[in-house]
Amino acid sequence: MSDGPGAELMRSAAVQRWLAHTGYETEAGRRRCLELLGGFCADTGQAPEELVASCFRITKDGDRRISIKGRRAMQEAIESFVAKRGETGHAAVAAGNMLRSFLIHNGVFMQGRASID
Amino acid sequence: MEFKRVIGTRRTIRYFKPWKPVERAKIQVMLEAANRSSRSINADYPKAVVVNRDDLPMEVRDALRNPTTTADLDLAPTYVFWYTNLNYGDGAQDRLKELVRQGALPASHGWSEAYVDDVVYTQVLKPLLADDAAKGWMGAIETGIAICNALNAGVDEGLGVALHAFTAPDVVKEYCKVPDTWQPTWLMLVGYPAEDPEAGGQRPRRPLSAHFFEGSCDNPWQEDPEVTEYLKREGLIQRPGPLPWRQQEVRMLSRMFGLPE
Repeated sequence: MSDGPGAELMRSAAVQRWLAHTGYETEAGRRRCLELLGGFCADTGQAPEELVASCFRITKDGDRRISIKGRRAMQEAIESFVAKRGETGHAAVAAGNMLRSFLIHNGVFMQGRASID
Repeated sequence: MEFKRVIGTRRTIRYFKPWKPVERAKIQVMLEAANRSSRSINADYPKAVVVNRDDLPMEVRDALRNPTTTADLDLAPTYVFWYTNLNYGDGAQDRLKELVRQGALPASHGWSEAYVDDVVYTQVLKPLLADDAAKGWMGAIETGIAICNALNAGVDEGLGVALHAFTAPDVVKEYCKVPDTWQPTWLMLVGYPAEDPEAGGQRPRRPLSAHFFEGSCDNPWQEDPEVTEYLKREGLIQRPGPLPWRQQEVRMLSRMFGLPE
């Protein structure tokens, strides 16, 4: 992961936090994580930290709160991204949930659909 | 399963076998357990609607989801929507007198039909039922006791159970034709556990001395080690989590269902 598209992502503290805690711990799993997240960042035009921040809101008192609207928009963005990649079935569900894993390990409570069909 | 082991084995199950439906008979066992729960004034506090996930139209299932609830609802094959019936006071006077006639509320303890009519109903229950906060408080407690019976009955039947936030109550109300006087309480998810029923071990609990006292709140309950050992043998106290294989179990289940890791 020292060069290539993953190198820039690896400089992100949010990405480092993700990879330090996620269960996708094999080399192949991490590569897949970075490949997916890189694609998602490109698709949304947002950096990893911006993706996380969009799931929170700042109240009038300056408190940071989880945002229902932000998370709903994020869910839609993930579904849209996965659909554009052309994946279907279990692979599509798993890809979307891998992206959710990035948000989850950065404090965004979020669930994805389970692959049960 | 023995009673103590049922209590000790209950967990909030989060991975169900989505492909394995729950037998209607087992749900009936759970409902009857709820129906037999302790209940003040012998009132009908708990109400429930049982729905099989696959019978729900997709628009209702989608409505139940919000950014925080999806996986559980996908995995559990049966939902029980629990409500508190806020009209539980209706008929309370007659039900209490019925208990007097049954000998459940005996004269030895001061009960009589006249006492119910002249004192209990008019001076205690009627004012309490006119107070929305008190009415809701009592209803929630009594419904919770019934739900607890149902949970444990489910475990006894070999099922996995979980209480879940009651999402989209308006959608459920319309779809299930729920009366206005039923207050949403809990959504119970029921199914066969896809995870080991131990679910990684018993959840951490603080010692009895942290919560319970003897005689005075400055005198914490002291556990008798022999009793503690007895409860371990009986299965009420079980191996504490996390068991060594728990993280791997979670990882494997997540992969099977394509869930985040």
